[in-house]
Amino acid sequence: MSSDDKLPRELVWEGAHVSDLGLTAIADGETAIVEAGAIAHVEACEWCGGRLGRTALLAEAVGSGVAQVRPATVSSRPPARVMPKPWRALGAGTAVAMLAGLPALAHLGNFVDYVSAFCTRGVPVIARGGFALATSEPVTSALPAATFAASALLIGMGLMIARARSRSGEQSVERSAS
Amino acid sequence: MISLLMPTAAELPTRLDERAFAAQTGELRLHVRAVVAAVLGLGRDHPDVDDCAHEALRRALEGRERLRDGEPMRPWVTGIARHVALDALRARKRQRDRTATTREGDDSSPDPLDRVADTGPSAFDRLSDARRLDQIARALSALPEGQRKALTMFHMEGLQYQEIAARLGVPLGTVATWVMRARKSVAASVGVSEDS
Repeated sequence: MSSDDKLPRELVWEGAHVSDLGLTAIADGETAIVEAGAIAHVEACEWCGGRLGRTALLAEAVGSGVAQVRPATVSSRPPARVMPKPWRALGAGTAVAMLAGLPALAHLGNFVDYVSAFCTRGVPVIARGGFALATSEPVTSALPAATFAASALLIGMGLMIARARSRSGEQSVERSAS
Repeated sequence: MISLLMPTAAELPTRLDERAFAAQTGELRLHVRAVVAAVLGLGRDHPDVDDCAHEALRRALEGRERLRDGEPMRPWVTGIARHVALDALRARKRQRDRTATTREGDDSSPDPLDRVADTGPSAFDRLSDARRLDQIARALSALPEGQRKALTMFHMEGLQYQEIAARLGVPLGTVATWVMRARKSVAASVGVSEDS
């Protein structure tokens, strides 16, 4: 076994005694990765021996609890349903749509005429109407109020986002601390 | 005559299993003595600790059939040792109570059994309580990912530290640290400490 297969000495010892981490490894039966000197120390040292007993009891208690809770958690959850990929259905739908559109190709010339007429006549009419509406008296008088309302809305949204961010930040700090 | 002394083919595997099991439980002697001493609150050299450790190993050896396939032996033996030690504590308490009734008024003895709360649920029982399972589940989900994975891999999948380190691609010391911290966090979340 190489030195990489052992726990680092600085983690196993805490001054003259074996650290909590070393005792945890011994209590978990991981004696192969703990240097022999640490195990010999635990056998001889009454204080470390007492800590080993308490560590082993804690390991057993938590282990049995975790073993009980995990199957229950797994069994209480419905199995994840794997949704079939929609590519085949999409392909079939596209093919049907193209087939259905084939008869309309005969009227393609009429459609092109309609689009060109809309661009040459319809678009200028819509543009003129929009300009007239924008420069009309009621709209221009309401513009400052609309600007203030938009600003207030933006400020409100900014505050809500900042609040939500700070909340999630606090939760992540609590998790990392635990 | 000699054939009578030889084990039959059916007996041989059983005896070999027994020997292997006895060797394994023997390796756990230090562990069992530490657990018993912690429960009894005595030094490991105390004769009561010796008796209980011997009794726990004997019960483990005799009841090895109850160990399910794949079930790790160490926690199982730890549980037996804890039960044996608690039985001894209760027996001592009953004996003490009987003695106390014959010597009423003499309550000056600093018997450590006065401090033993053996009527309440143990740390194990508290964690086994159905109401606590939800707490444990929440504690597990609140753990950082690495700690949660390491703890569940160790306790659920029965992996060793080195296997966990290889799977997660982290050093051995990191796995040991994660297991220790995760265990303490889960225990703290259900109100169990190492002194419970």
